[in-house]
Amino acid sequence: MFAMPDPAASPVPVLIADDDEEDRMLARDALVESRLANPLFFVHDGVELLDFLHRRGQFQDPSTSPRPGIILLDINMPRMTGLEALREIKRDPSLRRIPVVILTTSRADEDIIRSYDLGVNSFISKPVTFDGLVDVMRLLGTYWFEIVDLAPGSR
Amino acid sequence: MDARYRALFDGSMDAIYLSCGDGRILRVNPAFEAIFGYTVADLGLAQDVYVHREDRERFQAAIEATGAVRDFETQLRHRDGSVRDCLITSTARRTADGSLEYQGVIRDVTEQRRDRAELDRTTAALRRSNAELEQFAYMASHDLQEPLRKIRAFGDRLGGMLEGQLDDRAADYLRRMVAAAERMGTLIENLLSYSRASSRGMELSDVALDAVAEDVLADLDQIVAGTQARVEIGSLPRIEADPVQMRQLFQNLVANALKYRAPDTSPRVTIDAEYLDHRDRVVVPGPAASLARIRVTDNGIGFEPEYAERIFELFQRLHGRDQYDGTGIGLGMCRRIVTRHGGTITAEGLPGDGATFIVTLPLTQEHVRDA
Repeated sequence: MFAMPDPAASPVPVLIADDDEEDRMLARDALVESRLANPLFFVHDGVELLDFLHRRGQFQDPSTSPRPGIILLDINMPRMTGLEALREIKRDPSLRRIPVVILTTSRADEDIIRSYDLGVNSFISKPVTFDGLVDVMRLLGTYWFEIVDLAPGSR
Repeated sequence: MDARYRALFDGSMDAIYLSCGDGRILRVNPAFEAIFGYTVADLGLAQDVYVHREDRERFQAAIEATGAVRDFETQLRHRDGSVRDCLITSTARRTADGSLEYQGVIRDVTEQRRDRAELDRTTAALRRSNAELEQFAYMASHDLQEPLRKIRAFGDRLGGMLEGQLDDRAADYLRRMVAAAERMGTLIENLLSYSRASSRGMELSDVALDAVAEDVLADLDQIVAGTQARVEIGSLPRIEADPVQMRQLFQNLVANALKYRAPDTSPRVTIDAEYLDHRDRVVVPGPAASLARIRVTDNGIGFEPEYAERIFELFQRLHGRDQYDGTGIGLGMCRRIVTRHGGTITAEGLPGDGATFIVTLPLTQEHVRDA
């Protein structure tokens, strides 16, 4: 007898890249409120995001820097913007299977077009209300962790 | 010389001269003397008046090749050494003895050129400062949304966490705070779209305005149904315009007409158009037509005629927020859009007697392409 993999037993890590402390607080609260049990990790800009994914610098420990099952990415960040990081991720054969969802205040057509051109998996404008954010987190969880089959090795 | 030609010669504002092929000046008119400070007696050779010797050579080559030169641009020197920008139009003529003579008219365009350059500089500076302002408005409103979103989100959080624990007054304060932030959000949102309508490049195409009006009506069908409004769209022209902005224009005008409806009356809005020629005379559709005049008429509450201009100013409103919600940007945006298309928008109305918005738009955007 062998154990079937149970998704609920080891929920995939969620990695959020956002330079704004308050947005990180709200994202964490919204994730809790939406009852997603996935472990949550934060980075503050594109450089940290790539370091995290490549386990470089302060992110070498796999237990605190696991490979994420999904990345939520802000666009406007210092040092390396979300779009620049997105380009790097989608160019890298070892990273490109990780779904990337842009979650940004921007609604500019240019940003949306640019993101999809770079291979983003979804583009979401940050909801203005907290309840809206909870809804987005819940739907993201349902979609990416229940409906969608992620590439093997993502867990 | 015939007296009439003499009068033409003497009275001309432009300098006129007669010269030999070798450059000797035979005769000049008073305007020539006034413009260049020379009389025939103290003029040397024509080529000495040229600031750039190679221009004289080009002129000579051109006139020898074709017998005539039109609006030849060059710089000529006044007797006092100052430089004048000139246009020379000249013809060559063979005299009875077979030698060449030139006769020409020189127009002094120095002032014109200077004014033109000045105007170009001013226009360029204005364009730059406009573009900067619009960029500023766009950035400012985008960055202003950010903290506002936080006020709303944390306000929501606070309200949610303290639900049932706040007394009525405290709950009311919190509600007002969040509502005010929401209002400001709408204001900034509208300001953003105003600034976008101003700064985004226009994408011109052939736009059927009646289709635009129908689309707008479909967008507004909830409010149309809710107010039992009757909106009649007459025959509207096709014009060259930015379709997105035309839609915004009609959307704002129709929404405005429905919003300021009279109490206890079901709103009626009519949209119709006529064609004007370039002197603003009404004409039938056809080659003579160069403008379209579109009227959006309602049977709403109207307004005091003294406010007819003010309603198009940004943030200007005629009613308190408790009467009619709004940010005072819609009609300002209409004016902005119409102005960018080289048109005008005005309003006529009387209190209690409805309002008419009159939009005049060119049928084509040639003025833009020429600019």
